[in-house]
Amino acid sequence: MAAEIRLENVRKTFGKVVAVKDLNLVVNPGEFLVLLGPSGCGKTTTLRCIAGLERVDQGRVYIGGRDVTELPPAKRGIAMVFQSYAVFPHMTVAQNIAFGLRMRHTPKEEIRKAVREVAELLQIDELLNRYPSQLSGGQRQRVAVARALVMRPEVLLMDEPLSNLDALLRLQMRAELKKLHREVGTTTVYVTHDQIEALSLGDRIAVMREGEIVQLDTPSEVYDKPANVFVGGFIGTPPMNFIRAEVGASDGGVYLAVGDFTVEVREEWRERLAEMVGQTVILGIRAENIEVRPTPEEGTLAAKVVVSEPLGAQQLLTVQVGSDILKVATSPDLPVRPGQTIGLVLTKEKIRLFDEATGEAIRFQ
Amino acid sequence: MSYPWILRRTLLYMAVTAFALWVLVPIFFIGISAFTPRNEIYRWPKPILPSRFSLDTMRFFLNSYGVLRSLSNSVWVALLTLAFTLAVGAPAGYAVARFHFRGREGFRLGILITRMFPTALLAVPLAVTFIKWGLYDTLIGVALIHTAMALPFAVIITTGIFMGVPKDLEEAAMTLGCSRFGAFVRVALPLALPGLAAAAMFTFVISWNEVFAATILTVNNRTLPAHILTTIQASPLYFRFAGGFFMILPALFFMFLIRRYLFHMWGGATAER
Repeated sequence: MAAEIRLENVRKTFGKVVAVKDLNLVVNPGEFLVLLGPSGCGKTTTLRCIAGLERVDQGRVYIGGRDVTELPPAKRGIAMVFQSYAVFPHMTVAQNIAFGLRMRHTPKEEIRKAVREVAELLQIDELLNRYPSQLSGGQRQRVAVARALVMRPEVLLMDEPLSNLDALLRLQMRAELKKLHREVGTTTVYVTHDQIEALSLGDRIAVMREGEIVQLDTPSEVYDKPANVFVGGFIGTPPMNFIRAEVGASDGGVYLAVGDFTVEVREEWRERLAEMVGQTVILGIRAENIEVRPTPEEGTLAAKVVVSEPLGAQQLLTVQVGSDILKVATSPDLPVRPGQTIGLVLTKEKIRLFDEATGEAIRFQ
Repeated sequence: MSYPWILRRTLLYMAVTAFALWVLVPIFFIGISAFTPRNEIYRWPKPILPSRFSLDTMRFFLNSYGVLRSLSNSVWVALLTLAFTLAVGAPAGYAVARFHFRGREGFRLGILITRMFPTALLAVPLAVTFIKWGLYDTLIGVALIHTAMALPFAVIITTGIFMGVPKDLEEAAMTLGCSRFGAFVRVALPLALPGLAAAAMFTFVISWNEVFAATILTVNNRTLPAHILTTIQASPLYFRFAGGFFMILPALFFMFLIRRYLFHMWGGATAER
């Protein structure tokens, strides 16, 4: 019972603010799609447009091939989990979960059975007679998920469902939501501003900014091959490092110059880069793709350590190269002191180049 | 506990005590006198507590000519006012709380402005209009005027109540199969009910206590305050005490019931109880 969701040129404005800008998106049946972006990027509005809680100004919304643009939420075959959980305070847990089925006039016996099943699935069957005020935040959130799942919706929408939980609980619920999705198989659209949540949960991630989707791809592609500087800087802790580099050429071929230091480039890129000799580009590389040598040697980029942060599994160095600040992840055993000069080796295969003016990734075939 | 702290506390308590006495002493004497035997009322110096408790005065008051009839009139007018006010005021309050329409702030202010016109100024034109419309000297007519008086408060109070009910809850109900109206009835209304009850009682008391319009717009169908006002000059002292006490009762009862909500109402009530 998983349906496809299709948005065609959906536009939603609030006064003069364009919250969603002519958005096109197809969510495949059974897929877990994450809408990720900073606050105010239009991700929640997009979700609410799918739910029918906002009327779109333009464009069409299809669920399971059916045009639902003009239908109220009740007739769209969706269920939603709200950020605030929105559990009804004047009803018991059981009544909360049964609410939607009662609206559908499902026979009483069937409702009781369905409520019990879903409560067991979410491990809240002990709480059925309690009122929400007697529950913890984590328990309320389970009630909200149960209330949505019991409807057996074609589409499940979740609006930052974990953001009100404490860190440990969030980690636990994250894994549980993933397991739940695998068992239930409902098409799910999940809104979050937390990139870790997005990377761990999504089959695909749609990164949004200013009402537009900047990149729609699998988590590993989004992480490894960000479509532009914004995505690279938004995803990953620490975010991707960006250094200005100049494309240069010598007898040996094309290279990138960072100050006096030259970075070799991949074979496949040479042809395209040869056309760009003399131009400045932005070189992007992730913290874990930089190797550290205790002393600057031949063929390494000299950098001065500013701060060293031991983070348990790794050590995060903040280093200075010329005027650029970089984050480098190394083994926690590496002895470095602030003020020390070290050598960096950039992993050639992991380098990504961006246009200096637009910030868009430079495409190589 | 420094010296200035004690001084401030003392001043505060003195002020509170003075204010409480200012309100309570008259109520106390009216209440006591209403249950004092008739012959003791005129005694001087007056004892703080009567020598014996007596229902004599109250019985006399309730049996006097026109009292029971005007009492029934008052109750009917108050109930009609209540019905009209909630029927118009609660949806208005809901609209102000939920929807961002053009002129919303203006509406919120404007509704208070209607209370700026003194009833005395409106009395004659109102009476003339009511005579034309056949509403003069009818209970519905009085109830309509009382509704006009109570409505601003009702709108403001219900706005606060509905603002306290999170919008998410109604939206959740809508995603679970309710229409917009269904979500209001099944979720917002039950949550707002205690507050609405307080608003209802407030409205009831406004109508119950209103005397000026009721006196001007009726001749035969007086409400209780109007009846008392017009007969009080010619009545013995104990009649006045009994009438006064009788008029206070609903207000006291109301205050006890809603004191819990009074604190919430203006700051926006919390939904989770």
